[in-house]
Amino acid sequence: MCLYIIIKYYDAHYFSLVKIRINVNGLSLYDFNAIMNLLLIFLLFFSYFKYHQLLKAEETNKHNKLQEEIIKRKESEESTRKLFDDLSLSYKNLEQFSYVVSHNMRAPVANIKGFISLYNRTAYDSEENANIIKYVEKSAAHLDEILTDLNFILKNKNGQLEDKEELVFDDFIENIKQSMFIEIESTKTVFNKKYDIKQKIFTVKSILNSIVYNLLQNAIKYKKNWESPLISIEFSVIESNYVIKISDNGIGIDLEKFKNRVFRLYARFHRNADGKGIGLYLVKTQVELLGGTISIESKVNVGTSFKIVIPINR
Amino acid sequence: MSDHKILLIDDDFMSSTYTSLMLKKIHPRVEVVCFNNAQDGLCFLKDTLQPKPNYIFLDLNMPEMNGWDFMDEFEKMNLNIEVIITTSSNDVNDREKSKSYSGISDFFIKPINIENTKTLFIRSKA
Repeated sequence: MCLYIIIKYYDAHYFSLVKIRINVNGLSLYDFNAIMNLLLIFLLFFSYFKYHQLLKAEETNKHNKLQEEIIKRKESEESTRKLFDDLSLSYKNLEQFSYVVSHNMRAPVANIKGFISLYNRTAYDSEENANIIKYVEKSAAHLDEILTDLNFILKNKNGQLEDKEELVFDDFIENIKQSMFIEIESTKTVFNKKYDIKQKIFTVKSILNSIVYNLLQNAIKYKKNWESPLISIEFSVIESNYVIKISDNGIGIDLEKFKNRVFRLYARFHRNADGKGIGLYLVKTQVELLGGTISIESKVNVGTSFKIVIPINR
Repeated sequence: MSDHKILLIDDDFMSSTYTSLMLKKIHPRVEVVCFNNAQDGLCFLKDTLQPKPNYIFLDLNMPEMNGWDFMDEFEKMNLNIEVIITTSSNDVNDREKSKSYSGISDFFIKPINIENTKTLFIRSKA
């Protein structure tokens, strides 16, 4: 339809031009009319075209804004979800913590109750009773020990952070080695330092000290019977993180079996060791206190390796 | 009264001390064999020179090999021994799980009640 009008008026225009040329002296009413009509049509088309363009531009603008809005909302949704995940994780941890604590306190309490039920109330001075009192005493001491450990853990969990300080990493390691002198000597432990001895670290000394001390103690405690411990310590700065890696050649942990339990409270993996199942839990808590993460790699009878990543600016 | 031989598997030393004391009190001629880990308990059962026990008192929460791991190995051996689970937490899941093992006859919460243990022996006598 439009096209038809265009052609029609174009024809009219063409003829009028011809006419104009012929009648140079004056414009006939017919010519004028045709030209005005043409102009009007042209204007109409032009404005329609412009309007269309404007509409389109506005639409793209709206579209972009909507897109932005969607991205924004998605981001906020993402952060909400992350918050929710963090929260449910910490809730789960707390639940786990209280479950495990109640279970572990229950054991010595059960023992005390048991021994008391065996107490002979008709022969107070019997040898049997003397033994029972001894056992009750031991169980009570065990309970006390559990509570002391628990207190220590909670103190560490909510502990006020001391100020950070700059440490020469090698001096720091040497200090810890000094405090473990007896264990290192008696087991003939060999250290392999894989870092620049001038390298420095800016962190909370007491916490990092406890982390590294615990890991080194473990590396020696869970050594193979037939081999001296060989502990390698790596330290480097990768992107904006300190990365510390402590590896040993010990008996290892069967991760396939215990993967999810390694860092849990009261988790123990070796029947012949006198571990209480607190060390690695504490290490993880303290690494998290520094805003970092800890991961483990291990192979039975090959060794264990702990990797700690701590962000520098925190 | 016939003599009983009991295999006790529990990593908590005080707990197994109590259990053996208690067993000896209700049954002076009872023989208690104690292990603080499940692997040694299995070795003991596999040893053909050792007379088999009548009962196994089994703790659940132990390092390396826990009570359930022990049960899986134990069932393969096809021994006719009553297993009594002894645990310090009254966990519903554990209790349910214990029902899936035909060898488990009882589920005791620590401290193991003297009367319950007496009932156990009387039941087996009948």
